Amino acid sequence: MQLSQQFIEQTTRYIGEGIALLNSEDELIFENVTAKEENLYHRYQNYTNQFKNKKYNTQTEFNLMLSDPNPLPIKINNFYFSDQYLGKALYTTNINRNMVKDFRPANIHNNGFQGIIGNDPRLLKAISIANQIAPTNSTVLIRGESGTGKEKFAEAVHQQSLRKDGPFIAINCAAIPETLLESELFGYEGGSFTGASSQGKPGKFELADKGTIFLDEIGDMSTSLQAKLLRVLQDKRIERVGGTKTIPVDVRIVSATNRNLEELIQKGQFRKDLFYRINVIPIYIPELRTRTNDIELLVNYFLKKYSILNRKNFRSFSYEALELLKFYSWQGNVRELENVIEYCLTISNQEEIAIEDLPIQIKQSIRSTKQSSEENVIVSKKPNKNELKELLNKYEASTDGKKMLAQHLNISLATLYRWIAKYNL
Amino acid sequence: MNYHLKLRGDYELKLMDKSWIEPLYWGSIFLGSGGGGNSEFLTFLLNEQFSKKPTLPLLDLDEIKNESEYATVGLMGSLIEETFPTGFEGINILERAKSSIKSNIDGLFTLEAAGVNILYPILVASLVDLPLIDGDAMGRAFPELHMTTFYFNKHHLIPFVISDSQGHYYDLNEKDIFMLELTARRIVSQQGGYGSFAGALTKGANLKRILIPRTISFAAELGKTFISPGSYSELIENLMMVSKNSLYGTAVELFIGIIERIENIENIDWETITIKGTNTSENSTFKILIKNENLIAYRNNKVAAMVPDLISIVNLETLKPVTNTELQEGMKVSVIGLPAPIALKKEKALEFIGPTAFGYKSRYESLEELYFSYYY
Repeated sequence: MQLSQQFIEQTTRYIGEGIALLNSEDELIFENVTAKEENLYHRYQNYTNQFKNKKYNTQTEFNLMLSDPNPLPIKINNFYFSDQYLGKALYTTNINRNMVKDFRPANIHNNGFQGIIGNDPRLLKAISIANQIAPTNSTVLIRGESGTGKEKFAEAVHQQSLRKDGPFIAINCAAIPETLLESELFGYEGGSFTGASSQGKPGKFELADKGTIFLDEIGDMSTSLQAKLLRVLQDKRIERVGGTKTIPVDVRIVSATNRNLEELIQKGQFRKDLFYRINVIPIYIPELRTRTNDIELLVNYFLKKYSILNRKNFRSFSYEALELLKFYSWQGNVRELENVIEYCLTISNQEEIAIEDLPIQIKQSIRSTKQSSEENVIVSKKPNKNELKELLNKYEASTDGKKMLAQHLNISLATLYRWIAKYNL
Repeated sequence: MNYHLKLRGDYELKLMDKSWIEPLYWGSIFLGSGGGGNSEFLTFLLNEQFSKKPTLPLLDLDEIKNESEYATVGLMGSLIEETFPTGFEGINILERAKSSIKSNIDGLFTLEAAGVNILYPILVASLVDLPLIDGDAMGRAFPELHMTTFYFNKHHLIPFVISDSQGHYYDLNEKDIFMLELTARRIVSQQGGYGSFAGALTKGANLKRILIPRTISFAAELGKTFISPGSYSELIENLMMVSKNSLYGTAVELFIGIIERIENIENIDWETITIKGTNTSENSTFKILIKNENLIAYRNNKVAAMVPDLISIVNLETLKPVTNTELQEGMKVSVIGLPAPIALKKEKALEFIGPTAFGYKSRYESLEELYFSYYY
């Protein structure tokens, strides 16, 4: 034990970057010399205290920019054993390079929607609804596929609400075993079950008092817990596990799911009454593959972000590589796109990232794109007036619809417009 | 040169008409970043032209044909009121440029989506009945031809024809854009101070790789925010919203204050503006270094923004963007930063348009880097 301890201390001395290891309670268990010199742990604590409403253990890996006295980019790795969160490691990144400067702009603050990028009308509508209802106390249900940015929306609603100075507490209902979820949500009294702390522990609802609680993947919650949640919504009071008294809580509930709750209600797996309670304001986030015009904007946004975080020169994709990114199906939505950009910037050293540098799943999509364009050739015979009219109805009259139709016919949008004009449609 | 494209339906940003003139005018000033010239006279010419021919197609880069040829038109130098261009000189120089190739020209594009060079190509395109491409090679205003994505992409601009204010034509054939710039500049300064140019005949397939997409429609969207801005905070909110969803990035308020001094730095071609902070920035000072355009800004002697990112000034009395020639001591202003598109931030571009290209001895620090927590 002594040997490995000394070995770790010595080895980490030579890395040149700060490393700190924290347990599940965010207590420091190890730091190397550079981390000590940079006051890494305390700066991390200051940062998390400043942004109490953010969760730092929901993703396995992410980047942060610490401020004060000077900006310091760091990487965080969270460790889990099965579903149990064990702790995290903090790493400084490229500490010896010039530090990133980060003054706060004069009077403008990030309103939470800053990082939600896109011009898609459905996305803009979702943002507009979220903006409108943010100052109210209504419960919000955010629906969308995994990776579409539901938590970002929830945070933005909180940031724009009157509760913005209160905490924002997020909990993923699918990531925690049912037996633990109840005590996570409502807390427990001392000694209420084996392994419980003798002092007891407040639950997320208590922690979110005067703020917002974000219940992610609510569709995965068991029906018995759904009943308890419904009671909290009705009474605005919680009862800790093993406790007898009720505690009043003033919490706004924002939930999210990628599951079809209506179907779950039919199957008896989701309570109808709870659904009506949480679904006062529904917000739908469209999938990335249905908003292809936004892909280039997101690519640019993340290219800049990771160029800065990785302390590299700004780089972009070649025309061909970008085309491929635009036509890839993005099952993992914005999260997948962000990961792909970070990956490409890491593995490519060229100023222009080429097709060869893309991850394999995207390169493989070339073949299927080629195949489908071959299929398209068959339909690219010029349709007659009625056929074109029918196709226009099928693909809708919007620009996006026309773009999709042009793609389907394997012609340019300009040609499609020419045909439309010719047929006087 | 026949091009008839009857578009219909939902093309708010696809078919330009009279309603585009004012937004483009304000957008052209904002993207001028202090320079780019004032295009007010062009708004009158365009108004007249759109009365005769009400619409002009604006083509997305995705819509242009790989094998077709496209050409640029534009103005260079300082315009003198007595000899304002009319657009008709553009028709002749375009014909001259075209004579060197066998095929037709299928559309026009601008090298500089800012100042006079947004509106002038629209005027010429309408006169010659060609669509305009929604994109450009600078993404903002810059003073020289080699400060274009053509140069960074090692693509020439020839054939290149200039017509001076006296109506003389010059055919330039320098493949090296830097040499071309020197020759063109010499002609323009010797022959009355300004000239119209046409050329850079380029195949669609290459343009797709060279031009920065959708900068014309972005200029219009940006300009719309200045038409009925409401309050200053509404203006800022709208600017942020429009710029966030563009290839530029979210606009950021850098400073608010009153212009205290406008000075020339002796012996060198630089100007400085000193702005004294008001309200919450009462004890702060903001300084902008200018060489044609606003290039570097400092808040309390620390870098606050750097070229190629845009540094634009809004007059707080009128809530409109202003060029540097309109600035006056005592004017209440807001300084807004707008990140440049990534094509201008890459190493090979910074060599020609970054701070060092203008003689500043420090590395480029982007707005996104300077205000990281605002952006991410």
